[in-house]
Amino acid sequence: MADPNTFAEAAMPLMDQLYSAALRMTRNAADAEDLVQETYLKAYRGYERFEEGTNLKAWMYRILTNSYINRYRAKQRRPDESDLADVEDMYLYRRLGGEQSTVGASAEDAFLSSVTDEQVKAAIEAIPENFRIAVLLADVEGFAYKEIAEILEVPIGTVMSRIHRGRKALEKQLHEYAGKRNLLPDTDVLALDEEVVAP
Amino acid sequence: MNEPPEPTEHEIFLASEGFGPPAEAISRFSGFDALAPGGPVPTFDQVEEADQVEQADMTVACGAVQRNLQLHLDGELVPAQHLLIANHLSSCLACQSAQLFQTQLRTVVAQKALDPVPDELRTRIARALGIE
Repeated sequence: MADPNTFAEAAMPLMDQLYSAALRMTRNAADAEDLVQETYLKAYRGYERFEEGTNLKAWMYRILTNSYINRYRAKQRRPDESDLADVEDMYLYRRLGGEQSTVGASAEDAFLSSVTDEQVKAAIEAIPENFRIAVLLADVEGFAYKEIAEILEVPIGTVMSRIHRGRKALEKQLHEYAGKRNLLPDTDVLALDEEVVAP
Repeated sequence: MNEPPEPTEHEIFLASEGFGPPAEAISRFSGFDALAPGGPVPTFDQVEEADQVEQADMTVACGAVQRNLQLHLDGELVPAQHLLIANHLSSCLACQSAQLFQTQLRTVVAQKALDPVPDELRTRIARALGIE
């Protein structure tokens, strides 16, 4: 049983991360602030049930995620996932021409060094919701699949599949930004590329 | 929203079956004792077929590595699979290039998706927790 007097000291340093995750989930600052505040109050009230020595960060994310799902999810339109079917592994890398051996500055390097905070945030927020939360927990927060399974209370196979599809959606979105910045190779190269990678 | 069925543990295992040459190639390859030093001189057809098997093997290996690259970077494969991929990566420039990109992309995504908590929110929560 955890001592409530230690809660603030242990939990306050997690607030920047939780707030960033809340922003990606709710996609607006006012809801994100409410969500983070609700998370801290619930966690504080329930802190006696937190098993000391276990993962406080994962526990806080579980409260954040549950609060988000209970409070906001019903309001939101189901995003379209159907256009993910033809997005292959390493979608962005291949579209940037990563498989063409090049010497010197490549389109991949140009993309990585020029993509902006706003583009990355918008790309994450464009991921269909179920997949987005899994990608956030894996790629932004660095949780292991087992921890994510516990946070979301779903089987590990579900975590794996959501992360897999969420990353595809993320790369597809980032690819659009790359296209707008003229970072993609010309279409002849691309056509050849697709032929080579086809199974 | 209906998510497609989740992969079972078995399917996940099968997804990594591309490690090494397919069973058929192994059984075909095993017939090539004739290529061992000191054996009878192989016919041209035998040599060509052996080359094809080796090429198929390399393609399968790159494909399997790239299909499983994300799981490898996530540290979510069994140790023997991680080892197979690490071994392949140590000698394959194409896969190294893909690995480098995916690793850098993750870093970029993680670093660029951070927003500082507004001071007003931090104060509000601290006050609610009675620490101000």
